[in-house]
Amino acid sequence: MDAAAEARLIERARKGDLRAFGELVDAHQPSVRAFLRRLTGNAADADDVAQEAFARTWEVLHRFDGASTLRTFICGVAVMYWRRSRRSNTRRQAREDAYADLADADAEPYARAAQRLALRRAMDQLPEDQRAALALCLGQDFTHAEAAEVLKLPLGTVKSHVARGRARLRAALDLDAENDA
Amino acid sequence: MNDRDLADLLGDAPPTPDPRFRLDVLSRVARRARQFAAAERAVRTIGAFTAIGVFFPLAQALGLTLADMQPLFMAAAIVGVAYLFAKAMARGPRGVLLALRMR
Repeated sequence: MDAAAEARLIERARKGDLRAFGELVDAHQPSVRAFLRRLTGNAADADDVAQEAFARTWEVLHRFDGASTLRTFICGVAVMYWRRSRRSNTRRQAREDAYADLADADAEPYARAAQRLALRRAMDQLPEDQRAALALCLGQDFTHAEAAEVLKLPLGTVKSHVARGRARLRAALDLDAENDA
Repeated sequence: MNDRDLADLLGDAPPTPDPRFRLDVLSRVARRARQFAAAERAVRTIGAFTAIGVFFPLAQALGLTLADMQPLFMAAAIVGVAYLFAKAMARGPRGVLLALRMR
């Protein structure tokens, strides 16, 4: 969707047009949901946070000034909800994530499941901001500048978070050792 | 293994378009709007009854009797009826009929 079409939809959504907002949801849900899936490691929780974030975006759309992209704005709201839900559900989530990991692991080849679990564990050990920066930038879905905007962090901090986080994930899969050999 | 592969291992992008997700979002929007409206109504109701509850002890403390306040009550009643009438007029006859049918 080009910027002009998006601006028109935003304008209509601000006036209460739910159909226009639905189109905005369709346009941005893949990147927002993928980001949250990487962040939470659980598709159901990720979608729950994503839906809350979109619903909140509808309420605060008048605050969107166009200085950043709408996708960045929605992800900023999503990060806020993720932090909030994390604080309240840490233990429950850890238990359910472990179960979800096991359930998913049954459906895919062993080697890939093992890699995914190793990555998930490494990801879970990262500090909150570093994990979020990595989830945003790893698949090149978001630029470092966009991630800095979403997380309200300096650009340099985001870059170092991504570089260090990537190194931790690669170490968890022993990738660097393989490359060196 | 590149960054894209790492990202896919951590969580794939969902298949799109996903109308179910959009419907879930829109139903959440509607639910939250209903919740906000209900909370607003509750605050208004509590405020109105609190004001009425506070009015009589205050009037009594200021030495006003019911007989003294009778003109005030009359004025308040007229203003109240006029407000309700104006609201019904602003909504129009269809609005009033719709409200009756919804009950």
